[in-house]
Amino acid sequence: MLSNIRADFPFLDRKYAGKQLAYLDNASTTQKPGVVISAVVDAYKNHYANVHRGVYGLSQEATELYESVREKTTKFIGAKSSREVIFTKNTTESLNLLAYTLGQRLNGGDEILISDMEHHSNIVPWQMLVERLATNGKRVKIKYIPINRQGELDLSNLDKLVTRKTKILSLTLMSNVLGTINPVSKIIRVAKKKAPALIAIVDAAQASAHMKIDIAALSCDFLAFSAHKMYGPSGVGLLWGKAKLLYDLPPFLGGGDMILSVTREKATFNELPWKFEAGTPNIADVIAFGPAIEFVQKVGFARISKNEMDLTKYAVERLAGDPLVEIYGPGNRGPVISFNIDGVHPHDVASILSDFAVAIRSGHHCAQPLMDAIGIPAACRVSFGVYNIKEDVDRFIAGLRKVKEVFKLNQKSKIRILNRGSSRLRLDRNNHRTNEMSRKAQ
Amino acid sequence: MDLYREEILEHWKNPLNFGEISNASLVIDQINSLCGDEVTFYFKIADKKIRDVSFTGNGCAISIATSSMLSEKIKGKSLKVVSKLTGQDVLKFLGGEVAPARLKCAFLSLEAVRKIGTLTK
Repeated sequence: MLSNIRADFPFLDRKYAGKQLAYLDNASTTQKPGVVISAVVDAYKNHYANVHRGVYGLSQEATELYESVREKTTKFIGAKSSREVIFTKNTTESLNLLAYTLGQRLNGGDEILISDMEHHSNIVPWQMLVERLATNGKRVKIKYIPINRQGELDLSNLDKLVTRKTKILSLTLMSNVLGTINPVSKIIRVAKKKAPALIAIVDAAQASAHMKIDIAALSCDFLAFSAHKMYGPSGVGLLWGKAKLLYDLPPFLGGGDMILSVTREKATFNELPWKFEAGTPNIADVIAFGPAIEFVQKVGFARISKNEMDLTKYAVERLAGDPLVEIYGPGNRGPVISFNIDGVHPHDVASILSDFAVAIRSGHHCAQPLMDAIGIPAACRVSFGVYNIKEDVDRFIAGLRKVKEVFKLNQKSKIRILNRGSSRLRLDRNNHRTNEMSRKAQ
Repeated sequence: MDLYREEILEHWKNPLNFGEISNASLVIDQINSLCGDEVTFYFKIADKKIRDVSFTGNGCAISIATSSMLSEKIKGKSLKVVSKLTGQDVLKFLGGEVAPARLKCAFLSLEAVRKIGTLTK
């Protein structure tokens, strides 16, 4: 089965240092199957015109293809109506759209609740909102749900963190660093009991390629994710919101396609969802997102998860046997493993692995508050996708041996470690058991 | 991999001028936004000369080794000479080939040192 899937991905045809690339940076972005690539080409070759504008046949064709992907997306996440599905350019834009539009309703004293595990895209837009409101004399506070030593959200004080002033709750479904799958539906239910008017947002950017997204089960009000992390083109983001809420929100960007009529004095805004899609959208890439959804559905989350979690378990076992390796995050996780080799900076690890055609991520993973909470400046990260195989893990582990050779960690020379040993919350080391990905998370 | 030659690793393991100068006349922080690496350079400047220099920080072998080598190069030099240091000079004493993705690591310390001119005017 997997050999067929690998045959679908042209990136594997290219050789790096004489080898196929062991691409282990899927949490950052995924490679594209041939059907997605040819759909982009086909859209430009055969079906390209602006959408929602021309009365000529080609424009209608482009519009139909574009709108058919909205329908597919609607079904993919279990939404009621395609009016609730908005195309943006990425999860970041989806979350900025919400911070901007929802933000206009906040009053002084209101609170926004996020977590220490968020990607910068679910932190910075809220910080910018707080700044904007402050210039209007409204003081709004951002609170953070902390993490525990297992690298899970610490919910022991949730009833204190949520107050009647909490107006927005925005959480990631899966951590892009630790792989932690958060019990967001449970958190939302608890939070809404205390703050019924609260708006609940789920950042599903990391989760959408690995587990079935069901907005009803998540019991959220808004959901954001990106096509490029689930085998679709880059430049296509998704925002789902409850129609009633979207209807009440002001538009985000103003311009073409988001209006019904414009006079010199004012504009009447378009119906949902187009009210939120100003300007010519990313037509060809939206069209090519259709085959990406079909690809994921054809393979199915059961098989995707089985492959990815087998590899995660195998990689964790191989890493955990090494006394120089520290793994971060819970035993029960998605297909993301962050770790450090004692005495070697992540950039050096990734650089050396690159010479062996093994692609891993190094750095702060756009989650610096989480890095601070763990007490590390940076980490190495491997993350799996549908096309990864056991040999990728073996080559990664063999590459780590080379790293240790280069840095002479196999010898008894004493490495001086800079800036270590400061007060840091070390996550439990004995936490490396990986179970089948929990479906209870939803 | 050629980059990780013995000399570089030696600078990484035992960086020269590592630590804080207690009465520095100028302190410059530099952050690599790509990875969050940080260096802080401490300078004692008198008569338009760098009398002493040290650094602290947290970074990869390339950024720490470059900081170590660069600090050694600029010690005792006039600000005029230091202001003329270029990326090419840094790459020359680093020796190996630096992949584009790692240039930020290699230039982190140079970026800090380049700020001296603006900050001492």
